[in-house]
Amino acid sequence: MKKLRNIVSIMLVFALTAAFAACAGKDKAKEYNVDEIADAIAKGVSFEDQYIAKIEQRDFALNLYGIEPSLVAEKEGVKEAAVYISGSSPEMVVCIKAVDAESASLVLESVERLISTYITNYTNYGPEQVEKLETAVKLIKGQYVFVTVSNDNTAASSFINDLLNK
Amino acid sequence: MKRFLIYALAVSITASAALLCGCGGGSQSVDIFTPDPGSSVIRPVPTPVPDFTPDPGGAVTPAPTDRTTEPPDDPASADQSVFDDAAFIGNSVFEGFYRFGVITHGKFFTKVGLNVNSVYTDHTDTGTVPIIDEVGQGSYGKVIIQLGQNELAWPNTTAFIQKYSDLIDDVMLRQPGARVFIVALPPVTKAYNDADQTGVNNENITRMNGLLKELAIRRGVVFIEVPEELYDEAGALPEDASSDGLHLNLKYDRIWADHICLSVMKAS
Repeated sequence: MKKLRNIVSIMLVFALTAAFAACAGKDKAKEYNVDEIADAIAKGVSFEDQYIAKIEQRDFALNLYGIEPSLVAEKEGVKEAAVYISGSSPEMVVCIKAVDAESASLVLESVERLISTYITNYTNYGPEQVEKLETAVKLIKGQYVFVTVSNDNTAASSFINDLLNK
Repeated sequence: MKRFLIYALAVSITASAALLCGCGGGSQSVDIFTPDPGSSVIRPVPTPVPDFTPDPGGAVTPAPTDRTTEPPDDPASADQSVFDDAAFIGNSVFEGFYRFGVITHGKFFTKVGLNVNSVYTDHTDTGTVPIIDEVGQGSYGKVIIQLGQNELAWPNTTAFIQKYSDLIDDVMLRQPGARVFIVALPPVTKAYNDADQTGVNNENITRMNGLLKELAIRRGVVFIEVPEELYDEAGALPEDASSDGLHLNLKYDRIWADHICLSVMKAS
């Protein structure tokens, strides 16, 4: 009987340990490749500008958005920031991995500030663009910031969420 | 007889003297100015467009010459370090260089909708004072201006050219040692041209560029033509150069930027 009790106790310990390990696995944040995500969004979402283009110089892209470079994660010396912009409209795709969740909020604030500036600029110059800016898709997933201003933000939101949940 | 001769001589001398006095006294210069009764200063009748303005360094600008540049053909030799001391003033068409990161040297003072009037009232996205004053806050060896698309709908092109000339004055006042460049307006696509209802069409753009070139010659500044790659066979912007027919995409912005770079290099 005592032996049976010991066996059951050991099995319970193993079971609990396995359960905790599974939970810990679920809490671990998902990793994304910001370039692959940005490329997929640029191809898969509807944009008014058919020539929306990726900014090659990542530091310049961060500067364009007023994002402090120290907030952005690096991989093999390269900033994890992928940005597409349009030359004829305020449409954009922004995918950035911040150094931590708090930095991700600050990155999003910078992007939102630029969107707010564009709303002011386009109110008189191109009022048809304002709604796109006001309904921009803005997501934070852990350290990651995803922002898209497109021709159909509702569809873009579904597309991006499906992409991120794959 | 002798008395008669003396008398005749005296009359002749007197008559000649009278005639000469009359000529001198009668040659009053005609005042072409219209005096203002309410002022002690006689104001000249203003001319709509200044004919010629001396170089701000004090020396009189030599006879107007065509300073349109003919850049070298090889874009690969474009060196953007020539823009290190440059200020770019322009509208959304010019802003593409900045947004795409096509030109990463120099300082951009561009804004969507900018025109020759709003340069004096609007600030850049990051500025707090009007653009013309923001330009005055730095020190630049070159000021490169591209404006005009937003003014194509103006009913009075003379007013536009006058304002542009005034802008050159104010740029030179704030950057006395700077070389000023006027960049010609690129064409629009055929589709954009054919749909135009606001004056933004290739006929008006061509006419505007002609006036800007004349202005550059008159003011002794450099005029940078549109590169030939931005024209199709019919003189319109190629259809693959722009999504909306007016603003260049990345590929054609690079072509245009290289051309401007080579032009500035040649003029420097």
